[in-house]
Amino acid sequence: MSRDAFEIALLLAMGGGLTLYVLLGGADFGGGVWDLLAAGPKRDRQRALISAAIGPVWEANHVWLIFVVTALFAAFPLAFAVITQALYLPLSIAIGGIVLRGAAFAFRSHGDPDSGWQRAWTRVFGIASLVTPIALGMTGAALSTGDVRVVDGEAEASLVGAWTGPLSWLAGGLALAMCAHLAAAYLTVEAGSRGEPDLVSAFRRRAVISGVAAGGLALLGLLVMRADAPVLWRGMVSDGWPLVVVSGVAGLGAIGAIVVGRPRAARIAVAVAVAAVIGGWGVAQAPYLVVPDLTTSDAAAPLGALRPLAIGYVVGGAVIAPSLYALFRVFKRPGSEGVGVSEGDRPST
Amino acid sequence: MLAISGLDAARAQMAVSLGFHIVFAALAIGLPAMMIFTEYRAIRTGDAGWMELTRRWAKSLGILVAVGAVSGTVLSFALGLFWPGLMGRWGSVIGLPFALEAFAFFVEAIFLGIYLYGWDRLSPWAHWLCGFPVAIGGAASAWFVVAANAWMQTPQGFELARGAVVEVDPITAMLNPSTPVMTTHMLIAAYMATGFTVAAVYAVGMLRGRRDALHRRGLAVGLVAGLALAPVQVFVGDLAARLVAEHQPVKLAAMEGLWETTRRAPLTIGGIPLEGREETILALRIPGALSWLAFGDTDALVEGLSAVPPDERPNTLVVHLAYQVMISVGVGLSGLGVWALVVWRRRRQPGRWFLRAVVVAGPATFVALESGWIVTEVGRQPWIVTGYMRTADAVTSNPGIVWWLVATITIYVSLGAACAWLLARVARGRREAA
Repeated sequence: MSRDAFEIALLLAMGGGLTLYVLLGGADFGGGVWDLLAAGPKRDRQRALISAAIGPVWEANHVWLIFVVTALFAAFPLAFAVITQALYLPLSIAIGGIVLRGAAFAFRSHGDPDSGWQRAWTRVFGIASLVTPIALGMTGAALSTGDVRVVDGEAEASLVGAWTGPLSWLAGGLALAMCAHLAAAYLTVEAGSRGEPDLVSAFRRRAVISGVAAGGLALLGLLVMRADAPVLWRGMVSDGWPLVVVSGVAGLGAIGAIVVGRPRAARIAVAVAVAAVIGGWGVAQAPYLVVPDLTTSDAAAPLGALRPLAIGYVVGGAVIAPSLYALFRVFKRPGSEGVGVSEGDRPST
Repeated sequence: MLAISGLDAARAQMAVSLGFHIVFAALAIGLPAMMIFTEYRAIRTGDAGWMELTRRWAKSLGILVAVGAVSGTVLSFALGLFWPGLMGRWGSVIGLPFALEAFAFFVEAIFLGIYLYGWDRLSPWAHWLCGFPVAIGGAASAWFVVAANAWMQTPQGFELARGAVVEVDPITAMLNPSTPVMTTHMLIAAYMATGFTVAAVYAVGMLRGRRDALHRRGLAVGLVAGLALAPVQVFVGDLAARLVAEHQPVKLAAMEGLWETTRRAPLTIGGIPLEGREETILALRIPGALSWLAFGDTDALVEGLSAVPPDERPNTLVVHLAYQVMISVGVGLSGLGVWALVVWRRRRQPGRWFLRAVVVAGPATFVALESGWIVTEVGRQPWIVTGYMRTADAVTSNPGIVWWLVATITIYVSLGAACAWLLARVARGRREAA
């Protein structure tokens, strides 16, 4: 295989990892957002549902981020150095959010119910879950707008200006809305499996609202893109448009399925819609990793590094695919949610 | 404080992040291995006490791995945020172990989820089996990360042409001369630190008068794990020192506070290296012992710090003292091992002074672990890639690193305190029957 072929294979692996991170890890952040917004008489039951849904899987879901980051720096080291330098501030915010979200989630599931301890960590968990997707979305958009330049292999970008343009704000909002939408769609299914019809309707409503918001922000993003990210816009018009169509159709289908009460179909449609947004972005941006100075082949490691990496991914993938299947089969298969509350779901007292 | 340079702030940031993460990482490696044993006992004997012990450790593990996972994520980003020179230029050489580490971490995280939340959903033996991938995934993660660090000590697996990295062989890079010994040294340290920490927790309980089966077992399992490995660690540590002697003579000189290149070099115990006077004062010296330990010959020539210009020397005071601390703890733990043998031979109940010593041994093991890493990392300076790239040439030019440092310390102190409070609560068992 040539260097180009390895490059494409590793790029696809990285893109696949990013998509899974958004679909799985993103939904965990979305769960945190709904946790933050939970109010009224159903508040505690909503939070219990969110905790039970996230608990067993969030760490495995989080590893997709590590997968993407390490793939980037092993296969495209120059891009890793450029991105972390130019977008140091939004990435720092995201990292702070990731640390506080994970720690707060673990801490709040212990301690006395409704104690100051639990209330404080619940608040931290919610706020961190809200901030992190916004920061990551803004970071992502900055790779497309042309505000990050590469001169002699070094990043050159305005410390704040590079990631705070119109498209970045829209992408931050879109990332948040997609996470919330994914979470609401998944939680509708979870609530149904646990036999809590009032929570089903609560999360159905949230899924529709967040879905409409995500769709609206995605459309606005397309409008802004033409002026704010012309390279991305041209790629979208020439190559990315089929995925835009897929995303739109799946997104509308998802909302329709939620409204008519087909939560499992909606869950799949939501995932397809969100995956198509990520995919469309990638296709439209190709061959750039950072528009307009850094292409995939500029940033790629030498062939000697790509080959063992690709082999490692095949072997590693063969190990984790059945493991992930086991994880989701134990906790997410139809009916499994009904099995008694397990040790970890329960406060420690 | 704002007068601190970007380089110093970035190094301090890295030291704090690693120093914090490693505590959680070590416990996350050690605890699952011990739980495999206790859960096995629980299922085989049907004794609820063993199960209670396993469940409590599982609860602690859940908290520890959560904090370990997120603090580890900080590090993978930090390599790029603070050391773009390292990543941009050498990323293709050392990216492989990091990429593979992601898979090891996957295995650990996936089966930890099943383990922690699957008590009622799996048969007892299936649940027990899930402990293995957790333990193996955690150990493999550590292996890959330490292998990458080992490469920074003894880099290989690349070719340079006019300063640019042209040919790379990441497998050769990963399997560099330091990898086997450093990874083994770290993994044993993780198991030992976990063992002594667990033992210390139950020793505290026993000193407060709780001498039930749970406490006796917790103490015994922890002590056996820690003490059985202590002699192995002495042997591996000796290999590690010889490795340093062979490949990083300047680091060895700093560890020993040895300024002049000497035949029949003495082993220096204690003392304070004075950089200005280029001598180490107030030290006890055993003639020829360093030459013998490093090269197996009491007359061997050992290079001193003066063999290289001052700007190629690490901070000798820090490296020497950290090394003395690590060795002292090692000696102390060996002494504790002898004492434990005596206690077990003579009578069954450990006395108060023995328990107090165990209480000290827990944190002391972590002090040794951190000191060992200070020796490794400060002793590598001024290089980030020994002999090829200086730390100062790899650091970011972004402003405000000091605020990152302030934020990290603030967040980690808070998380550390919260975590300690929670773990103490789990250890006390609260309302659960002991």
